[in-house]
Amino acid sequence: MSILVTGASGFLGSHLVEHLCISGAKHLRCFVRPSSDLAKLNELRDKYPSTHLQYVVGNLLSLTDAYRAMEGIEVVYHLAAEMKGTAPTVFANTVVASRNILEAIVMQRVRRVVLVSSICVYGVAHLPRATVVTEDTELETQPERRDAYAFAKIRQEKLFQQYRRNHSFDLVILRPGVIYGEGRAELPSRAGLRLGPLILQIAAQNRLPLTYVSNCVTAVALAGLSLPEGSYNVVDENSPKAAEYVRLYRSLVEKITSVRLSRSSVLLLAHIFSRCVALSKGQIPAVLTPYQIKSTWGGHRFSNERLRAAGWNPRASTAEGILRAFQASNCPTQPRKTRQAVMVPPPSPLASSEN
Amino acid sequence: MTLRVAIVGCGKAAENHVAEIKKLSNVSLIAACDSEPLMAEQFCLRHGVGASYTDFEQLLAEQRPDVVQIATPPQSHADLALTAIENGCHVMVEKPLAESSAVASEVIRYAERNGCKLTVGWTYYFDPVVRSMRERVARGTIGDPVHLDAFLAYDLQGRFGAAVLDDAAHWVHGLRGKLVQNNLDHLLSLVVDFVDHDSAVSNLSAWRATHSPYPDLVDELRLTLAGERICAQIAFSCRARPLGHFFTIVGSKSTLRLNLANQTLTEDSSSRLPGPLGRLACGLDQTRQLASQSFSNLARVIRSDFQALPGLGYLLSAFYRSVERDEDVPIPYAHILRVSTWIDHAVNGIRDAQAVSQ
Repeated sequence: MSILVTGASGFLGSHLVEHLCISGAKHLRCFVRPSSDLAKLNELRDKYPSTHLQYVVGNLLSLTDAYRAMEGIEVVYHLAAEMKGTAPTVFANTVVASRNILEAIVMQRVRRVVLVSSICVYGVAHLPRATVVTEDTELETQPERRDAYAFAKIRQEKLFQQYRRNHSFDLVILRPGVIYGEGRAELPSRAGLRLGPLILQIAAQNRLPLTYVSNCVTAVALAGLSLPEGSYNVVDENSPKAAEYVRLYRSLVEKITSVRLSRSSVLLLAHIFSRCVALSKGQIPAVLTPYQIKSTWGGHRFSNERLRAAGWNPRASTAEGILRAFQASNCPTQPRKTRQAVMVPPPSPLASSEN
Repeated sequence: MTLRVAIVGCGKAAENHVAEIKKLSNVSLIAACDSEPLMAEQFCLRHGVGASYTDFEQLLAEQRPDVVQIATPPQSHADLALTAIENGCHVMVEKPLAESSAVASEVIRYAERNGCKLTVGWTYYFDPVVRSMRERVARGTIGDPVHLDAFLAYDLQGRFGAAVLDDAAHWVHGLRGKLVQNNLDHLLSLVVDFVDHDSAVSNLSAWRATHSPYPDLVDELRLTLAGERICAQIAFSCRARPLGHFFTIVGSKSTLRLNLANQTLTEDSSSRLPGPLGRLACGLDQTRQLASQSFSNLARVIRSDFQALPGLGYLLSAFYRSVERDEDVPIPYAHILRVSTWIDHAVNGIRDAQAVSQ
């Protein structure tokens, strides 16, 4: 079975590639950008010589590159998305790139497609606190009121569903919560807003919808093999409250000062801030709106029952996952990841591990 | 009268345009167009624009805009501008106006023949500190201009630079002068008011200092614009830090130094005090000027006049005023053409140097 992983050099992508190698995948193609850091993938290529690991270097904004990546592929794991940058950049690299991938999927008659989406696609701003969000909860109907990433992920998911209706591939959509693990243990925005050495804890009593990377990867791999078509939340059980998570972080990773703010006080601040943004005529970016606060810090819970019923068994408990991630980030032999552009040679049409 | 405006090109540049258009009272953004339907769709949804198009001519036929703002890659600027003018629209085009001075000249002549106004996105030309500098030079504060120095540091790992490096098909790679051609307007538009009319590009050096997958992506440039009375040094660098945009104009009486990134303008002048007292006084005078600028900038923040691209709002406002009142356009066409010619020479110089090195 030939497999393509987009976003393969990213945090989740490289863990997925390793999982697939361990699972005995014979042909694995990784789509990476010209500036991707390939250190982790190169390490895996050396570590698992029985897997034929290929790199396709390109950009999914190019339909030609998408076609090139898709040749002979049976299963696609689409993880690539843009998380940073201006709204048009995030949208183009997430949605336009997805459209190109979908065109290539249709052209190459790919059998099975796994899209890694996000729990941010749900429209939860109007739902009461502690509402359990299942896969049947309605998707966001006002994406323009959300941040650039959520806006793009919502459109991306709709695009996949639209192509699925018109074509004959199997589609599994996974909606992970906050993915963390060794190498990514920074405080998520759902735990609070980080301002240098300070964290503003918003709604500290909310339970964080976490998913440990190994658990998440198990779900993603399963989606490529046997999960019935449909969408699945990927969140671990026994998630800690935001306050507990921050407390552990402070004791194991980094000494930071935390300030707790109630959701209502943050909402009031957000209303004032939105007014300031309007008065500033764009001088201050609209990073925090009341709608976004209701969506992100609304205290909703996310159900993983459907995924559990389909046979997903998390490998590690939340307590174990957090401990491993925090300890790894504090371990001197495993330096914390810093963003670093690594240049690679000019893209060859199809570079492989044998070349 | 409310001017009906359409934007073509729904990427990063259009975000800057729409932010300023929304502030203008006599302007209504009625439609947006992008050859990529998803990009047009997202732009219209996020900015509440009523009509989304992928076909520019269809937009012109159905919406009949008064003004078209072109925020597409430079390769399409001229064709889109000519089409808009043909349909009787006034046109604001992102920089550079065209890929060559010959084409830029053709677009300008066509606009003039058809009675349409045209301007180019020289944001920094109308930056508040640049306008203030021009006023002081015009008042004779610095005496006669003697020398100019314009410097721009660019981040190849930044939002725009990273997109260029990550995409072998990015439109920047399709420009003859690549990154340099796309940025020279930011430097040359600062000097165009002061150099001699017959100034020509000389002493051009261009090289590649950053390791990237693109062997012909020049990321360092130095050139001189030499005239009879005055010279201008132009520098573009992707290695220099901090990222900044500086301009210095040396005069026969004093020197003005502009930091466009931080929005400061200071004047160096000779002290009347002797020896060490004079040197001390100059330092104190600089401190006073910077403190004064900081307070002025704080006042601008309070007035909501401290935007990331403060010159763009002024440019658009002045352009729309020229359209409404049928006045002169804010940037003289002769300036646009001179800059375009210098860019041609710089690009040709880079190409020649690359040909020799190969």
